[in-house]
Amino acid sequence: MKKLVFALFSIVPLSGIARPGNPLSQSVSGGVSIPVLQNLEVINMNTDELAFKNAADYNGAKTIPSYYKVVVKSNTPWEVSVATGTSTFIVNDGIAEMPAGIISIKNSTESNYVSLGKEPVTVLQSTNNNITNTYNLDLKLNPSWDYPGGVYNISLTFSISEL
Amino acid sequence: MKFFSALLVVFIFFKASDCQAQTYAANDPSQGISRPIGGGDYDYISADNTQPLSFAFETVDDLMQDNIIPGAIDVQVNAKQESYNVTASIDFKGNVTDPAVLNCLAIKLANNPPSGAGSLNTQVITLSPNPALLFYQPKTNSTIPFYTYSYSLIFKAQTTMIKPGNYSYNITFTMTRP
Repeated sequence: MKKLVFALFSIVPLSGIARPGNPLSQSVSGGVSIPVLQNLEVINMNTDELAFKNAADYNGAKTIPSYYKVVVKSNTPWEVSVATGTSTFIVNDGIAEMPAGIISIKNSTESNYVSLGKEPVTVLQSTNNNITNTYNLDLKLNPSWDYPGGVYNISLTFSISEL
Repeated sequence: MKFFSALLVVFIFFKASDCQAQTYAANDPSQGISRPIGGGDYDYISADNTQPLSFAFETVDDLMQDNIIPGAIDVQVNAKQESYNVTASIDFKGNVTDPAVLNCLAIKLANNPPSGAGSLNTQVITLSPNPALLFYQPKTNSTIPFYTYSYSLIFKAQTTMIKPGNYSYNITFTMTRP
């Protein structure tokens, strides 16, 4: 008789699929592909020509605060470097080779300028976990009296890379 | 009497085998087609993706906005025998530790609630390893074979760094008795 009671009790939960303590579940699968993603935007905030118009400009270095606005977007830690296109300025009459190193640059919130050259130098690094960060860069030009008057040109290349 | 008991034992054995097979079908994603869709006495849940559940990014700006696969997942529930809470959780494969990755996906109800639905969450639900309640499915004697809940899958806009990589995941839908 004990066997019969056991058997009848066992039949009850078998009438439905969801048995006590046995939750039903089903899964779907997918994927997420995230490469290193970075974007760098450099905006010249000063459209006036950089001019040395008087002795005072030559005696002291000419500084232009917030000359560039830099918007960095990156999903990984990063650094921004700057290099000049040539080691010297390109001069309209070709008589003077003013070195690129007379230009220096710094983050507006910092105090030390970094002199530029053909080799990239780091001017910004990530200091937080945000994807987007915006900076202002101060520019300093210090040609001294060693170079004749003229129009001097040089290009700057900003690069972003993963740290 | 001994003969009668023996007959009962044999009967239970075969019924138990049948029941186990049905439960396995509902639990095994690979058995999605063979589950007992179309009604019947069995309570069950099924989940099917209506399109690939894949996200791929080419620009950082893509990461910074919601990426939505509309109506990506159909969840079907049959609750003829009992009422259920239905939850969803996510499991990333491999040793994923970046919290930004672990919390990057969410789902949101994409269709009008079925007429037999109970209380349900219509907000964006961020997926995590801990089951999140999607809805309560009351027991129903309706002739409707099952209720379908369509969910959009969302890769949420990111504002903080997220570790590059190729990640695979499972989203598990579970129905449990309240």
